[in-house]
Amino acid sequence: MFRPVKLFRVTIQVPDKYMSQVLGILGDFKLLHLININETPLGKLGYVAGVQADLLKRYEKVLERITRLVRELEVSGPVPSLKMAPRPDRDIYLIDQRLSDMEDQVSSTLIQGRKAEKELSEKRELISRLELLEPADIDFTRLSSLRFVHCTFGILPAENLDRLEESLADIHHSLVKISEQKNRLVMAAFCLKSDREVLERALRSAFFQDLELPAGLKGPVGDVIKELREELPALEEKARAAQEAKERYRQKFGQELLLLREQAYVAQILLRAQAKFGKIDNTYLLTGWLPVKLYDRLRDRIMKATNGQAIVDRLDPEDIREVREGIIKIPILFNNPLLIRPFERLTSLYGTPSYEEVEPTVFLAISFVLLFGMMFGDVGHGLVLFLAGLYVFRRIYKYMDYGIILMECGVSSALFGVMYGSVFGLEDVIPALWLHPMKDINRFMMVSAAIGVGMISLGLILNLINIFKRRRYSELLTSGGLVGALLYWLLAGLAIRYVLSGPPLPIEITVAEAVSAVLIFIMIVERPITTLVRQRKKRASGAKPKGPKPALGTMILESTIEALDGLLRFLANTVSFVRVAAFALTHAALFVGVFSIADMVSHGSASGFPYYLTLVIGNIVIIALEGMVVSIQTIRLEYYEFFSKFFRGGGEPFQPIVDQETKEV
Amino acid sequence: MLGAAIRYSYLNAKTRTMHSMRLRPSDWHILETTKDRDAFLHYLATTSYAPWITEILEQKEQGDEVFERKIFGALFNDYRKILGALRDASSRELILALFSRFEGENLKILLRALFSGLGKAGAAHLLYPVERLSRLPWERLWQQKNVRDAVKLLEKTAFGPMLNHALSQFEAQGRLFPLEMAIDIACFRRIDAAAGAIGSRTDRSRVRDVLGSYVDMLNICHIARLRFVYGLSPEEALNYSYSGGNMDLRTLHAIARASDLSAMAKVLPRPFGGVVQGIAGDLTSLRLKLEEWLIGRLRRAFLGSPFHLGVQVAHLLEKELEIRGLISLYQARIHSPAMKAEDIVPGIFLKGGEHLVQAG
Repeated sequence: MFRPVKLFRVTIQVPDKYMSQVLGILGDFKLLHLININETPLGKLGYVAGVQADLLKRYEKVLERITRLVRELEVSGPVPSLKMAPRPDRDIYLIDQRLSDMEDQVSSTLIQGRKAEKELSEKRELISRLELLEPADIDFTRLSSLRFVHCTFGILPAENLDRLEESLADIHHSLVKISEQKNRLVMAAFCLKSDREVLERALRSAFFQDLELPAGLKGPVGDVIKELREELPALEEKARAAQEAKERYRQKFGQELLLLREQAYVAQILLRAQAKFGKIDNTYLLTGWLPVKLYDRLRDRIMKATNGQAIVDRLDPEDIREVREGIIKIPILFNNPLLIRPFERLTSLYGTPSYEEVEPTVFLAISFVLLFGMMFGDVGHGLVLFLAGLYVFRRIYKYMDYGIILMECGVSSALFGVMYGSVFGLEDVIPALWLHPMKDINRFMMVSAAIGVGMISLGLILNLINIFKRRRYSELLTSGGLVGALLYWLLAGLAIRYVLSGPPLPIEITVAEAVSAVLIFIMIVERPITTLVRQRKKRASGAKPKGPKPALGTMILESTIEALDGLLRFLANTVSFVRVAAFALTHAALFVGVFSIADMVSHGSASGFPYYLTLVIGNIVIIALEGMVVSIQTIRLEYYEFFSKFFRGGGEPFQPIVDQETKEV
Repeated sequence: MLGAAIRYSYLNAKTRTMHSMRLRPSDWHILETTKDRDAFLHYLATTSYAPWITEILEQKEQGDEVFERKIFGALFNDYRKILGALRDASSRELILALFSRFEGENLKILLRALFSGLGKAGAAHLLYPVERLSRLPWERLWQQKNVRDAVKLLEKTAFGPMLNHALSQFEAQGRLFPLEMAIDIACFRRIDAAAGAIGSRTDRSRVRDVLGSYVDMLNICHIARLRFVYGLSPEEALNYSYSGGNMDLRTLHAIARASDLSAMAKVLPRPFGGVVQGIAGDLTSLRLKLEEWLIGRLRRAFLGSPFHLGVQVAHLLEKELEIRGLISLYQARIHSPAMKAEDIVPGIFLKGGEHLVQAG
């Protein structure tokens, strides 16, 4: 939990006839971070395997068909997990066969459904167009009997009417307005059949939109509409039946389709991964990072599948020269329990931890939830956040992680709400188990500062651990190392002593001054001394120093400024935590504002619809606005006050051969 | 009068300063005699167009279209200055409406690019640099996959209603022509509406005077092009004509009915009949004659009382014509160096022609 998963560098050599089985096994294990062969000496010599283009193309086509069917059947839900990864060369036949069976069964229903829906929408569309002509009570039978007159119906932009009239001045014509809707005129245009082309050209250029009535309409427009409406129920029934059949097929094939899609998807990924493999004659070679605990199982399965004809090697990262020299980075595979895991996103947003440093997600998660709850403490608001998180968690799979974070923050807010005795801002519903932020401001601010001291101390301790892990002992003497930490704790101890039992004794002050002076002196001289020692060592080894020789005075000046800067930063970082109290007070103050407005709108009666409406709207605004502000402030405290003390980052994220993230359909 | 003086004194001074920086006949003469493209650009870099020309020269962008588009930066700069000094919403709307013609040109290019599957990169060199003034969602427009989606995105803009009307014709005819016409018509309807909405009667009448002449000139050229270049029928040419001119629909119809340019010249009302007398029978000379007449009209806006919006409109239109003249001359320098400036640029630019201003 506090460090990433330990990894081995694994190298696998397989005869090409077993490659597909091995791909399947790798798919099963998922947790292999492949190294592109191009980045290794073998790749640079050109021993690179290509992807099986034909097979990949077949999978692409199959995936296309599956996706189409999923879309047409409107299948949705979380992606089912595969018990075993597919064997790309063999499974394509199974997937293809099964998909064809489904298509055969489903296609006639889908075609019928589409046809019925198309017919239905066309009829409805026609009815709506004919309804535009209803005010004129047109008789299509009479119109169709006109021998010398051409007639057309359509919609004309009202502002184009004058121009259209003028443009038709040279022919016998009549433009009859039937109705008007939002600057658009429903019109009938008449002319002699011999002038039809002129009329059509004019109408076209006036952006006349023809109603496109089908030929063969008979009788008054009202009757035609009535007949069409009578046809609707039968069509609706047809469409409904097709929809029900579709629903049945969705129930029957939905999960299987998703599973097939996942199989095809994983097979495609595995095939594409081959581009990262090496190949010498008839032997494939692949290399990557694998969790230590999976190594034996992977080797056993590969050896069994290849009848012992494969070679599976492992290397401890410490035995790899490029890793020791920092040329190759070991990828980071997070290893956190379910409730902490969503916070990995926040850690990654700041940076990916390197393999040699403490993995900080668990500290981030706990402190995030704690700080958020303190700043947003209210039972009602906590409950709302929890329910919102639950909704996201259950319904929006893509943002499941954020759902969990919201739920955790909601619980924390509710717990702090109990401690503050606040339910939707009402402070007389339950008793405060701890304090009311607005009534005990000084104490709350002290507690916030104490939390700050605690978090900064934790950051300093984590930094010390990182220093030891990376064996950079000289950093112990810097303001961020042990010396800085001791100075910070000394000053923090004096402050706590002052708060708890009054001013320190003169002897305590004298000792503190002396120790501080020594610590600051060490911080100042650390760099010049380290630099001088390093230069002397270089000279002794005969190496030429790079760049100009730094002046001693300049180095001391720089170190002094750095030491003072470090001290000031400690102070600023600690004071920064007072914002926890400040935002908790803001939260309470916003409630006061909302209640005041509610009183004003209800003329002081504290009852009635406007009063409660104001309270509801006020609470929604507080949850949305304050929730966002508090989240931002919490992240700020985590990143700038806490992470900056120990987190260097610069690591490479672990990229499993098959991404295990849940995908939403 | 006092109110107008207070409102327009600063703007008027600013506009006249900008107007005084137009090219002189001597500049045109030198530009005409430059031996090649580089000499043309280097001379232009000594005029008020320097900032935009220097940019072209510094960036070593050689395409002709780059010059033809970037040079409009000078005009848009004047638009920005005038808009910056105008406080009245209706006056600002008029200037923005005039500017919308360039947005419309860019929209046409965008629609063509979408229609032919060309990306923004392929059409970027054809676009006017409208970004600083335009409020249209260009980024999102370029992300659309087809013409219909782009038109839908423009629904709430001034182009929206007319484009929506034309959409069915675009789909029926399978070509962009109806949409392109709709864009132009939308621009001129917006200009007409904005001119009609100006509060002060003096402003309105002086603006109408300037714009009426401009739209009349455009309508004559536009109808002639639709009839004799694109082969459209009289009724189509009339329906595609622009609003806001002084000529009524019957007159425009009569012009559209003409079978050729000389027949058209005969039916043109006063003063156009006299203006186009003796044209050589091609569209370019018709346009040049009409532009020359229009520039005279525009310059008249600077005479008499200076406190009205007509001055600003006239300046912007004249500057636009000056730039179009420059582009024609630039193209002639490259493609047909033997061509004389008087055959491609309105004579009033070359000779001064203050008599035309006085005569109107």
